[in-house]
Amino acid sequence: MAEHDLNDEFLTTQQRISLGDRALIAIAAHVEVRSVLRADPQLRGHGLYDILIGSYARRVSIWPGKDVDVFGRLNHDDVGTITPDDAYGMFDTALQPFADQRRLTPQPRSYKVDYRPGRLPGEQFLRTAAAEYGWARQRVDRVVRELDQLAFEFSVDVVPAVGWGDHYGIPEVGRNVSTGERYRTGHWRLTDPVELNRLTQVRNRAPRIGGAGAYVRTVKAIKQVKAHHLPDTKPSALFYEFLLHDGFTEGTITGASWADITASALAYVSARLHTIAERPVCDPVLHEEYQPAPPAGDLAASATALDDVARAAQRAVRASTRCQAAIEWRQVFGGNERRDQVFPLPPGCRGTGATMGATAANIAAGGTAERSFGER
Amino acid sequence: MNDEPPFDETADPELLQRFIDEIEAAGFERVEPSAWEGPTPRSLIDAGHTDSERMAIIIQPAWPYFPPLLRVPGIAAWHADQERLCIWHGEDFSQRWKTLEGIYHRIDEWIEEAKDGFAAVENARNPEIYWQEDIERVAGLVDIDAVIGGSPSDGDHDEFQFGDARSADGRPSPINVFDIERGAFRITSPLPIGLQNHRQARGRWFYRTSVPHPPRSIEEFRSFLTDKQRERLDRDLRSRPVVMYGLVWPNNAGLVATMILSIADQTGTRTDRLVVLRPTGRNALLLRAGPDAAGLQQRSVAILGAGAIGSHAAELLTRAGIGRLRLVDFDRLWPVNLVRHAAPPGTPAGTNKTDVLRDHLSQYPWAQIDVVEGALGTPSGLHQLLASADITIDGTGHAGLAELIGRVAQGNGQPVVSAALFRGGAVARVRRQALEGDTPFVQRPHLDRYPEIPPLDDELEYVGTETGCLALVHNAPPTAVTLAATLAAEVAIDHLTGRHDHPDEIIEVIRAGEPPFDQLGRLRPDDLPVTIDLTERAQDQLRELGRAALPVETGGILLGCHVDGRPVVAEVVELPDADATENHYRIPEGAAQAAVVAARERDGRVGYLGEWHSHPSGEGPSPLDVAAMLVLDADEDTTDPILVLVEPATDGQGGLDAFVTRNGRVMPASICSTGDLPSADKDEDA
Repeated sequence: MAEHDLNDEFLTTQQRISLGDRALIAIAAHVEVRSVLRADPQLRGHGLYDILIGSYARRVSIWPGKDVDVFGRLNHDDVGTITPDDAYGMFDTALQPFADQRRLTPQPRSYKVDYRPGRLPGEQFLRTAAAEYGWARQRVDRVVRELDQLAFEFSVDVVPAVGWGDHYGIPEVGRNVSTGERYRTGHWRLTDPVELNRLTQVRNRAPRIGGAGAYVRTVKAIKQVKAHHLPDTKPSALFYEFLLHDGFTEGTITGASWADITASALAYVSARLHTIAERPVCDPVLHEEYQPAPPAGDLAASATALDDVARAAQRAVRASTRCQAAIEWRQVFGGNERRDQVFPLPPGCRGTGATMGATAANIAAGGTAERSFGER
Repeated sequence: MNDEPPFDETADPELLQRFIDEIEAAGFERVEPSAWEGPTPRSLIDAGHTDSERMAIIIQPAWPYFPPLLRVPGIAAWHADQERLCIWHGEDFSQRWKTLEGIYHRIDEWIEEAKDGFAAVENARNPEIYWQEDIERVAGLVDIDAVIGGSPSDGDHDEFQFGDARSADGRPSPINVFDIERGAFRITSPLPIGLQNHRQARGRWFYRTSVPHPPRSIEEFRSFLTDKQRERLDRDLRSRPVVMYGLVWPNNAGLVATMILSIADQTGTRTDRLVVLRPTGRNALLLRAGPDAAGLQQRSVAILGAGAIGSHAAELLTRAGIGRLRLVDFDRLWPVNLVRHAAPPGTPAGTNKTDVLRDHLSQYPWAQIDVVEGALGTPSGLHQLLASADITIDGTGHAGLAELIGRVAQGNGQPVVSAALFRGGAVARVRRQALEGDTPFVQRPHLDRYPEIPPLDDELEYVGTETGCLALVHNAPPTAVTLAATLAAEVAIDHLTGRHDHPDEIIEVIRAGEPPFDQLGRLRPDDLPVTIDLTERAQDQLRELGRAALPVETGGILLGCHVDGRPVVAEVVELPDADATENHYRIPEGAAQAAVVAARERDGRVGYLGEWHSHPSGEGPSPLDVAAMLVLDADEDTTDPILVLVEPATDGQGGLDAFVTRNGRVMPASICSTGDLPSADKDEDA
């Protein structure tokens, strides 16, 4: 049990690492892309069924937000009836309106539709998205009002997919050893992000802390830790998500407070990183090893870095004062593009970890004089 | 000009020649190479100081930096050294003696002063200089207060014993005589001829509340006694072969005496010797210990760590008059320690540091010194130590221990001073935690008026270790050590005397380094970088309000209260200005105070701390901004205002710049993030 659970501060941290209004805009972009796809007769003829996948769908995305992944599943096809190239080609035609706006970038496996200030999804898509995802009207109104000022750049990745048994096939991508270029191999690759969405929801039902599922918030917390301490380092955040899924499923990651469960999760992750060779991380749906396998050197460096973080978390749960605990948690979580520190200082705490002394009332009344500032 | 005396050693031959011309024109004639004899001023004769019509002016080497001597035959007065009239203070640098007129003028002043009686402070404490009779001299060390005892009355007299005789309470006899011509005094020093041993000699003192001047001969000595005293003296001289007798009288700082040692040979012929007395004893020594010495006699100090700084602090405090000293250390003294330690050279290697200090300082008769050999690293041990003295000085140089001492002392309201050197002795710091207003040691690390002193690289900071990893040897020179010790002792005395002239932290830069330690001498608060505390919530508010108002400015006031002696901006109030532009913002009359009143409804602790407004351009304070802040500073309702400028950004990630207004200047300040104010009605850590 943590000496100081700092529950309010953990909840604030969740807010600070979450996408906030950006999530609505990202999902509205998905709605816009979806509308373009659904307008295409050829895709409709192949039984287009679009699904939001990826971290947005699993609600584990964190600030500053990454690409939105959309599955364009052709329900009338499967891996035996259509080649990846043919399926890919159909989406090229459908997404032509974005190409006309110079916002479409073909990728080996998918199409990337760019969103940037001035090209963010319009009000109708925002309202549609809000209705589907249950966003408050006032919040949508505010986003609509401030849309022109938002400095948010992202893209929507449209991934062609077909059925493959109980799962899905997406175009397989290879890499030219000599040039490093990625290319479509002409084969399908097995995947099931839809089932991963469902498993995430299931996994988030228990344990619960303060009425909220612990799993999703812990995934977001660890993604923040990874983003701060191991930016641009392989393995990716999805690798850690799979690790945490194991830890929660085994019942190894436990805790009655956010502090305890976060410390437990960090201890689990750092320990697992040292034993990946004996126990590889697997996709919880397909039970296949995480691909691409992270280089041993990167894994070792990540393990060392996260050992330090896990120790800081242990110090945090054992700290004798809430201020010292908060300073350790600030070390654990670090900052993001929006803030130097995502973990807030609790009331009565200084940035040094010291506890404030007694407050003395300030009797200064502020004066009645007019003040004039500026150039005149 | 020539190179004969007195011109051979003068500093200004031309000026000297003019002076000689002047005195020769006034009737003075050269009687010796450097002496001119001429008429005694009439006033000196009329006042009865001499009958001689002639006096001499003797020019000393280095003229005019030292005054000429005045030889006045028969002069009998205070300030007359045999036949030399002393009219110039040693401190006198007026050089009025460069003209005969100046000398005569000073003689007239002196006559007036003598007429009314010189101030007691001007009465010499070495009256033997007045002695004119040609007899042998011996030396004596005397604790005159111990000899006389109590408060004598005019005409009193009593016996005393010499040297190695012991008084009833076992203390050494308060007087020793020895032959000064044969070397410095030691207990084994030769005795005056005719004196077999101290025990053989007994003496008698005769007390007078005043004398016209110190006696110049035995006859004059006797004439200053009362009849009864004279009879008593004669009886002693008839009955004892060895008699030392002294005439004692008071001056402003105690008792002084002229003493005669009279020894009869086997034939009964007496040889009289003038005893040149040099005072010893508690009171005489205390006269040199400064004006606080008397008060400090009743005070006690514990010194934790009897190493370099601690030993010198102990010595200084003892010399200054501290009555009780407790020395705490577990360590022994080795030859290398002597370089910086107050122990005397030659201290045997391996002596406990506390023991050597106790022995060394026991020469100060007022000091009761006890030692505690051991490391007091436990709170309970520290508590006992702190409770045993009026103030404790930490001279360990151990940062952790200093903070622990501070914690223990704070909990028990016990005063402590901590002294340490930093950066290889380039910076000395003395902290006090004694008064209610002193910031506890543990609170100081996060307050910018107590700047952190960054260490040098270990190679520069230390010269190695003595016993492995535990005892790094600091590279501070002895000069830095004694300076730190002096500051520590001074701060302790400042507290013990109740003056409290010193602040609760002194930082002295001995060798300049990085800012703010780049100016030699005492670090002033104005030299320190300024930090303001801004809650994270207030920072969020400022950025968001600035962003929402784009493209024009907005602003308002900053609210908060004082915590640990410095302002914490806890709340931001926007006071919208409908006429704001991209480069101008105004708060209407009365709006600020109304906002403060409203805020106090929510939290009675908060009040006005400063102003804020946005600068979409991102520029710093404009001249109008600075002027406005200075005007606010002059108003007691808005004194020392903080200014925060927001550079708003569309993504809400605007920049914040803080400024403080002090001493007629608007200066940049850094921002320190804090949490919200602690709850007003509960302990946050409870």
